[in-house]
Amino acid sequence: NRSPTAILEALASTVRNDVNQPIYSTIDDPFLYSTTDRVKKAHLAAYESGRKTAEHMLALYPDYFTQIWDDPLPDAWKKDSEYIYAEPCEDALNERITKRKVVEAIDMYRTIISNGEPLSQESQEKLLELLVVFNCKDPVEETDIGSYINAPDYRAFSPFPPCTWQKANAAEEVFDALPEKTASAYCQMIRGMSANYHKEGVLSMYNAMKANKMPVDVETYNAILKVASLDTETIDDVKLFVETILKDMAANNVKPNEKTFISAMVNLRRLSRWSGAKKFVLALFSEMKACGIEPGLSTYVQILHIFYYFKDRSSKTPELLEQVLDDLKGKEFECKTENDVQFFRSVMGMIAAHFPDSKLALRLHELLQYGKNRDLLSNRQAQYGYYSDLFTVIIPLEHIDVVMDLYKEVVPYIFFPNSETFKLILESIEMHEGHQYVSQLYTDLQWTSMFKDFDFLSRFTQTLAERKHEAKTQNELCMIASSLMDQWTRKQHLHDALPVNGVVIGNLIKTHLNNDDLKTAWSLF
Amino acid sequence: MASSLSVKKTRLILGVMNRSLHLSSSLKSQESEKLENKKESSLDSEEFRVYEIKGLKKVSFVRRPERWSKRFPPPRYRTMPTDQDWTDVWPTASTFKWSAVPFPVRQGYVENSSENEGVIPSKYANLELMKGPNFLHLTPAHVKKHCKAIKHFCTQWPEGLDTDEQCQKHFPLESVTSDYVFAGPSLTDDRARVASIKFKLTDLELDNHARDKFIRLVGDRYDPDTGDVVFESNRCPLKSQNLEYVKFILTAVYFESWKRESWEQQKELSDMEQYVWDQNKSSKTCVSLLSDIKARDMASGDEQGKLSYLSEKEVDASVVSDLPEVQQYKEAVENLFNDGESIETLNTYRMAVEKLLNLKLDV
Repeated sequence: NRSPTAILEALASTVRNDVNQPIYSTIDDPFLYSTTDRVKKAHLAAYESGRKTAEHMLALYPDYFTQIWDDPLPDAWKKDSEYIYAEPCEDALNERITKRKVVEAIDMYRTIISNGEPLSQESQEKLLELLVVFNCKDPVEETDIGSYINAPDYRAFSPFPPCTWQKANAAEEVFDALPEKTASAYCQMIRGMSANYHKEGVLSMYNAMKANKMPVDVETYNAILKVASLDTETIDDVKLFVETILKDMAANNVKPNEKTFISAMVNLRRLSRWSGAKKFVLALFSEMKACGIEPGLSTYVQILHIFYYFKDRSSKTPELLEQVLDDLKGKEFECKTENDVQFFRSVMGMIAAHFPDSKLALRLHELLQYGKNRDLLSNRQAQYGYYSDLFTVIIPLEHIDVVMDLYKEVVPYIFFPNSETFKLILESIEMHEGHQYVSQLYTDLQWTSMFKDFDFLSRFTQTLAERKHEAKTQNELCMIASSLMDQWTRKQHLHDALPVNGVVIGNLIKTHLNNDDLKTAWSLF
Repeated sequence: MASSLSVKKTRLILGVMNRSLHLSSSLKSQESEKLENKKESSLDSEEFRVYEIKGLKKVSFVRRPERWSKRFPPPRYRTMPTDQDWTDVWPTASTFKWSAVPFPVRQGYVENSSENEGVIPSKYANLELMKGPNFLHLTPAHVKKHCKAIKHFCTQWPEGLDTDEQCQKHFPLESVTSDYVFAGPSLTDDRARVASIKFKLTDLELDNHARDKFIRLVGDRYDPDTGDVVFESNRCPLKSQNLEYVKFILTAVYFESWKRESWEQQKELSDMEQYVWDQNKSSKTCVSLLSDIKARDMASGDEQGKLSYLSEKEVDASVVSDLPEVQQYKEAVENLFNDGESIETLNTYRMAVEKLLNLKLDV
């Protein structure tokens, strides 16, 4: 009654993945911590490349790796390259299909056809599916770490994505040669063409299906809707297209799902600057609600993108965003569609660009921390951008205690701010007199080379010297000042010394004077 | 000075290569000029050339530019708040990380005060601490968290199995198998093959002969103190096969022990697993001794030293052995042989002998 791994999964759920500590898979030693975003990426990329090199070596010199510990060797570890069937026959074709060897499958198919042997409808359809999904090329597999550190593909959201479907490619060849063109074959073709932005092909296939009165399933309709906005002039064209398709769906009693509306909205997102886009998207949204479909994060991503595009500098009102946040409050989300992971990063970006309201930002952050929503901030760039914007929005407007709470949660292992953010924090410290936090900032700044920048160094020392504090804080500040001087004197003659000049020393002297430490102050002088 | 010399040298060499002989004389003149100059200077200053002893004068080295050394942060435990959740810091079993452990701990052996100044090494890069398993991933807080997570999988304990004896009664056979999970060059572990079953000997229906034969067949798989019999196997490649094999062994041994082979009748006194007084020499000696004593008693007519329990009738082995004193003696001797010598058994033997021979010893 329970799955074999249910208990393991339950135990695994007790482990949090958002703790402010170095990436758990790395060696936990101060010398090997990676903090700044660049270093983190380099570190993970190094892991990745190490693994790839190992695989490469295994492939190059298989004779040296003969030790087999497991007897019998599990199937997953057996070498893929050996086929059971080498001779051209249907089983060989099926084998290559299951192993996802696209190019070899095409070759095998062509050999079989030229030999004149018959192939079953089923095998041909399977081959078609393979070709259509991978666009007749061998699949490039992205590993977990790779997908974490590399930026995702935003091609789908550019206004007119280029068509990558080649005319008369192997898929079309197979399709034309099919003995019986079933509905599922047509559907596969439509989906493949739509994924590669080949609008004419999609339309011709769809019209053929309609002429032959074949049933079309939901996923295919979604695929058709995805290409609605290509080769159009105005929003009205798009509107017409979408409405036609939706009416066809209703006529054939095919129930739409969330992806249908998302596909439709994606078109409008591509053309969000065109007039009429916003009205239409709201119409689609109400249609979705009327169909009884619960809108998820992806839907809201599209809508918000249309209304609050980053580069659009015209004035916006936050009401829509507030309503969306109200709607999503207290809900836990899973990664169901590919756009789910964009939600938090995009919305934080919108908040930062259009209405830097710390309350909104904090509300969004609260939503992130609810349940397992943290998993939706997956990509390294998304994480960095999200926290960057969050801090930029919050620091000027909130009290330093709130800011430093967030800071402690996240810095230095999950997110490391850049010098601009640090300057903002320093301003906030001065404004709210939170000088007890300066020592923590200094510890974290030790890892970076931010002090090499003169502006930053003078700003920092200005904070140190600002005014006289109570004994404990003042002592800390003096220790920081002395440590800075030490660093400078040790490396004075080097090219990467701290850019200490009169202003900086003046500030340091002031710090010591505030502590009534005349001796040190005089020695600096 | 050195550079000027080297320049002169190169000039000299060039001179030799390019020009003809008559230049060598000019070279000579150059050298002699040099010497003359030196002589003149030395005559002028009236000083010897100073001989520089190596190592006497301090030589100032031009400081090479320091390589940029990576600055690394202080270890993590310095900034850990005391009320942090340890289950987040150490969620799973991992090697000992000195920088993430907030308490001081030492391990190691120092032979004398020259090693590490006589102090047991601290946790920084301590290989001994890293080698052994640590249970920082199973603190009470962890256990609580884990129990909470899997509690809803638990079912009620069955009724009628409240005590250990009831469990033993309803489920006499206990099988033990292990599973191993870890990441390594091989996912499998040889120890996972092993299967064993355990049961109490008393749960099997065996008569005396069968029990004796079973114990002999099973050997040291039977533990006489607890009465457990354990069959373990790892000779088959799969765990399920080993389990079946072990159950087969049990069946085979059980039925074997009930069979009586023809050669079992050749069991001799030295093969007996227990000491039985009736079959041994002690009974014969006792009977003969008692009959001897009776004869002497009859002959002597002394009232005091008689063994009163011996009747006037004819002393017969079966009659004598039914006498309670003799029975007591028999039990004492059997105890001595079967249970070994201890204070209790020796005392019972002493009592039995006193009674048998009507001895009254002063303690």
